[in-house]
Amino acid sequence: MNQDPVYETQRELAQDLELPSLARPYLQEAAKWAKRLSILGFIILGLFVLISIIAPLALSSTGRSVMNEFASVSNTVSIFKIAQAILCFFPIFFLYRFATQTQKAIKTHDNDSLVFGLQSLKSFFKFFGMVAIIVFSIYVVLYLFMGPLIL
Amino acid sequence: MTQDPFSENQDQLNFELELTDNAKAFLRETARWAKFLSIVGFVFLGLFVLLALSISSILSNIPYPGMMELRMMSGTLTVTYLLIAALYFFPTYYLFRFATKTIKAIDNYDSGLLTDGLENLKSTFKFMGILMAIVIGLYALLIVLGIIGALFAM
Repeated sequence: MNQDPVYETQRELAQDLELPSLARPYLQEAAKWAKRLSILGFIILGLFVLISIIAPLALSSTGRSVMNEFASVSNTVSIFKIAQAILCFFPIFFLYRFATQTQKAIKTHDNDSLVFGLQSLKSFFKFFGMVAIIVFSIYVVLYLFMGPLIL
Repeated sequence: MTQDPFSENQDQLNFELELTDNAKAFLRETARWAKFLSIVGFVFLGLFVLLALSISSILSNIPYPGMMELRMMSGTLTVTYLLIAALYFFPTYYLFRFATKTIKAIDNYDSGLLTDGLENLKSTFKFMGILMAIVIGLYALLIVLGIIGALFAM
């Protein structure tokens, strides 16, 4: 954007931005809370899978004739729920990887782990950004097509 | 866990963690998505506050007779919605500050700003973590109360 030579030279000189030692405790604490959040996320996701996917499948496999209609309904729902569970897995996994890799980087002074951790943090935020964009565009499309019918 | 004196010494010696070009690029992209998300968050907060303030007029425009009780509650609804908005303001604000400060820090090679930015990232995660703990605590309390209630009902 602003490619003036002085700015460029300054860039070249200060090429390595070090992680200041003051920032390290903050990064460490961010990773600590991120780890707790991600573990909580994994537990909630596990409960969700147990209740809404495994339990209906177990019920349907009992083969009670009365349950058959219910079973077929809950099976079709399960496909959406499996998709939902897979979708939810990714941000939690990215957050967990950010947390563990960053903690490892700070503990062992490993730059590669720091890069990997920050990459995971990027993926975490990018995922939610993409979801926001997709949901927003679905709303816009729905409004454009259905708006005249609703309003 | 394995805290042998040699590695402790080494800890003191190469204390600097460098932000490599890759790390900087990822941190910058993180901050850009975080900025986008925080702006989306602020827009939704604004809409939510608008809803909170206009809920009484929305309810009074619905001509069903059963809405009378709801209309009486509209003051409570306004206060509740405003409280929820206030609660969600903080993580959004922290995220926005993390994003703007980090982008600025990387563009200007300013390690002080980077520290500020990471402090706000920490605050975002900490706020969400404490909020989740409180919500789960409330759920656990409700489940325990429900079980006790069910036992007494038997």
